[in-house]
Amino acid sequence: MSNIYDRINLEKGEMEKVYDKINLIKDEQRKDQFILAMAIGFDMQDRIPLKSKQTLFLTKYLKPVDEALINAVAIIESDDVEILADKGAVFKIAEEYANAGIHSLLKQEEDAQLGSFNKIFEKIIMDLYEKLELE
Amino acid sequence: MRIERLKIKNYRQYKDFDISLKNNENNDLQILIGKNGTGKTTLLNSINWCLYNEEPHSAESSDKLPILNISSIEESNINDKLEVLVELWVSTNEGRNVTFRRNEIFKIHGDKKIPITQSNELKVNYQDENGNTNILEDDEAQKMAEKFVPSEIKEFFFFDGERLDNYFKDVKGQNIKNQIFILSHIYILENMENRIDQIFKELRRQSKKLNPEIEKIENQLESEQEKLKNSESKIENLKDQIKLGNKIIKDYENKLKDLPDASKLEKERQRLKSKLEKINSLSNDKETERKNFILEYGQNIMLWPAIKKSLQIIDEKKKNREIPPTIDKGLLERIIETDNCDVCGRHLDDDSKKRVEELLSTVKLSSEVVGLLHSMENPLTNLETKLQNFGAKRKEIQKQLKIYKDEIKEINEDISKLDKKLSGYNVKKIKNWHNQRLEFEEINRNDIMTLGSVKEQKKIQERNIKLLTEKYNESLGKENKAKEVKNQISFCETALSSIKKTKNDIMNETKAKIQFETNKIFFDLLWKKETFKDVEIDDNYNINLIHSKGYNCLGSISAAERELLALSFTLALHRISGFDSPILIDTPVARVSDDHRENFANIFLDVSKNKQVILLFTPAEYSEEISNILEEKINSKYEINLLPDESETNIEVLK
Repeated sequence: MSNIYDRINLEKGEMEKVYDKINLIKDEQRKDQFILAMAIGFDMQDRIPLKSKQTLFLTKYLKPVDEALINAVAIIESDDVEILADKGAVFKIAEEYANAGIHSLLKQEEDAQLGSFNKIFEKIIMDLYEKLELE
Repeated sequence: MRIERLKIKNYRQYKDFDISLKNNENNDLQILIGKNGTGKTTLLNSINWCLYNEEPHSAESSDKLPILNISSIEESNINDKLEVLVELWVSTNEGRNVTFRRNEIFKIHGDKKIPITQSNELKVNYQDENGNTNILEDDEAQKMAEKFVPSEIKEFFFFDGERLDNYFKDVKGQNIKNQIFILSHIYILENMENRIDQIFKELRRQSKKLNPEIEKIENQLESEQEKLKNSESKIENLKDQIKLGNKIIKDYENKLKDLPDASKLEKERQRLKSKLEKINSLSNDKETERKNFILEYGQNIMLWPAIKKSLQIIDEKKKNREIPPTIDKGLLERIIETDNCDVCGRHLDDDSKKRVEELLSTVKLSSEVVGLLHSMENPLTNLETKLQNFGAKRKEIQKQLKIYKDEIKEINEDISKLDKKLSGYNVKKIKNWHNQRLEFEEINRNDIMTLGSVKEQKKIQERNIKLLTEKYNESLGKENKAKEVKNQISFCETALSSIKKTKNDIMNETKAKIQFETNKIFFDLLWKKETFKDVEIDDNYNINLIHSKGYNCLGSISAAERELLALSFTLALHRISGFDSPILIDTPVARVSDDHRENFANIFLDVSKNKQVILLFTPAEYSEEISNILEEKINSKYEINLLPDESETNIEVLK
């Protein structure tokens, strides 16, 4: 039986319906699609719990930097580093942010004029960057 | 020499024609005016027919008509004999009279009155130095005609004015060279050369019989000489081909002068297209890089609060020495639970247990969490560093994209310019011309290379011949019997060498004289003297007119200037040939614009001071500008008219 923390899930049936419909990320690996979706959800501070699950990818494909980002989100969300000891909780937070993020991304792309979403997305990122407090 | 009288009977539309051409001390200018179709060119032909039994200026339509006057045929009865007669009365510079008289007798056959030639003969009456009249017939008569104007060069004496305009198209350098050969009497030397060469070969054949050694050398010599002859012939052919190639290349250059180089442009277009493709591909790659950059950095920017917070926590834990973990929290918990030390195996007393519990309370994080936090530090620190470079990296990508965009724009503009250049032209035709030019350039390059190699071969052959000749003479010297033959051979060799040298000298001298005379006449007669600098004639008698700025401008001069140059060259040939015969020009200013007719009138007047000039004008040609200048100086003036039924021409004396 597989370890229950060996995979990252998405809402069942949304691989094709949502993930594969987004042009911006269509050439990306699943784990990169997921991290981006999580980042968008995190930025929106919107978490949507998964109603029923489907595997998006196995966690063995995550690189240290990906794991660090997922952990960082869990830390800030729970305000307790001890959450890292609970992989299930960490991944749950990430999956819920990603779930909200990926829907938002799909909607934004669908709402944008054909062929213009890359630029819109870049503009969103630029605006965020300008507000960023880097040391 | 001058033509005193021209008498024509039954020759084409001239049923009965007789004109006398007067002159005075100052001028010898004869004018005949006739509308197109009245018979001016027939008059020119009648002289050619009389002297050479040829009608070189016939229109195709008149070729089919009988030479016999049509109204004479109609008036004739079956079996009548009719005579066509042209008499050319000529006087020499010594005042002796010569009459060239050609007649052709026709018999009228059948109901359709078809004229059948019975005889055609030329008779010449001439006065000798004693004033006695002699009659020459057949070959003798023809020889006399050749002395008046040699048939080979007659076209330089009796010609169509329209031909002057096309002179440099019609008259090829090689033709002129052949004429010069005749004019300079070089053919006499050539005949001598051939004759001596035959004797020379015969002597060699005789010498062969004297000794097998001599025969062997002689055979080698003959073989080498044959090779040399072939090489010389090859060299001449190659020179001609190169010359012709250059002319064709020049023609294509002229055609293409103001046209775009389609092939080159097409190549350039293809090059630009391929460059465009490459840059488009680079630009697309850069766009992908830009997108990936935005996605990668975008997620990090969005996650920055989490990254920052985590890094702060890690930093604090490090400051509190919670990271890296020094004590295993699980180990302490286990020791308290079992009251037994896992490290030394001792049972814990109360005091020890208390101290372990105090230690556990200071260890806040589990080692797993600390390990995870520790593993997050490096990746997150790296992300922070990367984010600090976000702006610069983005600018760099944008800058590169802008460079590609500008390049793409520039290339598209260039392609559009090329397309514009080619639009409206027959690209296929232009390309064909370009290809033809390239082909001839390639052929010429090969010919030039071959020429170089044949010239080298010729040098070797000449050297071999020299060596073999020495050997031959040496062997011949050993034979007493051969002494006389040897002397004769030696004489032949010397004679041949002298003739060849003389021939070349005369050709060169003649060319130089013609060039000099052409220059002199052209610049004397030219109305704008500053425009041109020189007339050059190359070894193949191709004429080049050099502009005052130094370039050859023959192709771009006006019709009037071209006609003047042709006339100057013709007059130069007259002077050099020693044949002081008249010049007869049909429609002399047909191709000359109104602006220059006055100039030409002055030129003809000028030439008529030293030579009989017979001009056959149309009434339109003989305009006011011309008549104002010529009228008073004309010695004889006739008007040629065609009868209303067009069967006959009559002539009216105007002066």
